[in-house]
Amino acid sequence: MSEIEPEDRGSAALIRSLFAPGDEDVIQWRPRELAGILTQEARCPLQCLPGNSNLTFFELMDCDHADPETLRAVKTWAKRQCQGYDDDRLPEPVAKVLYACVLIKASAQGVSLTRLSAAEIQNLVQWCLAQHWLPPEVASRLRRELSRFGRRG
Amino acid sequence: MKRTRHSNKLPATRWSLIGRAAAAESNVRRAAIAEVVTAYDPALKYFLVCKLRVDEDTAAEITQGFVTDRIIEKGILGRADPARGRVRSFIVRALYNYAMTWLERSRRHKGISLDALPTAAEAAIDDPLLKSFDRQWARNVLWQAVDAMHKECLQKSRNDIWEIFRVRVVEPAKNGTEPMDYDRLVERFGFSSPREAIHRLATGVRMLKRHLKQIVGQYTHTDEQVEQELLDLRDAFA
Repeated sequence: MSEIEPEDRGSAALIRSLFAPGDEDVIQWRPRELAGILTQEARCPLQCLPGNSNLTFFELMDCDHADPETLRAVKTWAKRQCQGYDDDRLPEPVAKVLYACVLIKASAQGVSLTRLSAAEIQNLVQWCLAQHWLPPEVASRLRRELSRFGRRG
Repeated sequence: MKRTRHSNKLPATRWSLIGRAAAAESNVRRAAIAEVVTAYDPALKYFLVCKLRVDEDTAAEITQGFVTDRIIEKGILGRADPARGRVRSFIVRALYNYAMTWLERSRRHKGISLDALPTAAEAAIDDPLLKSFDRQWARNVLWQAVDAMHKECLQKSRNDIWEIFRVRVVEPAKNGTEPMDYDRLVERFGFSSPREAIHRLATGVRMLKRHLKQIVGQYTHTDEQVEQELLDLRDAFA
């Protein structure tokens, strides 16, 4: 195939991205931006909760005993975000971190929300912790819940 | 050979003359012809300059004649047979035939040397030529769709969608600049959650895809042809 001329590279990349599945190739969030997106999302009131709740994701993570139904609603929302069902879906790595957070939080409280095994949940959390863009305020919460989960045995 | 990006040596008013020449046709047909002319004009001229070695002014003259005589008056697009290949191949071959006749007539009338014309072998329509034609076409369709999207945003007072799409997608593709950072997007547009920004960007992407489909749909006859044109658009820069 003939080489794409420099003047065409932008058009070529945009055309290719428009035909990729989903919108993420067009929008192309960079790793450093994922941190900003995740932090802002975690500070917003959770829209998946019924009523006029102003509870944020960080507040949920910081509850000593989070309401199991709230955890379940947030887990369902985060899973949908991972699967790309929602129109305003978050970037996949961000959704995956939120999903891991809520699973480890629930598991640390002894609430079962998933068919994933303990090892699979721990692996998912480790994957999150390995993301170099992960904001410290999220990483610290993940480590705390992972530690609590470990103490439960 | 210098390649002119988005070249259009013909003044816009000349194309409006073509539009008037087609006034007997239905509105839909006129709109379709205008779309074809806009989509293909740079690619047609590029083909003539590179393959037939004519200068840009001559290429513009031949293109103008081709559009007027063959596309508008003789309605050759209606004869493009999907079973015989793609619309673009049909157009480029029709242009080639028209150009060779035009050049031969010019040679007789103006005394241009035969040596100046390429031989049949030199002028053969080969794969690299069609690829280069495809890329000119694809680039033009893309930026036409972006313009159409911009106009739609203005008409619907959705500058919020256009502006975020512009700084995030359009400018980087057009000028090679970095997309505006998420933090700066929040600062500039005041998004209270990431989903606000993402929703607008996703809406912009959908709009652009819809306009791409509409533009290729202007000069195709069936849904299958539209799908094939979209695949060709994707593959032009594969």
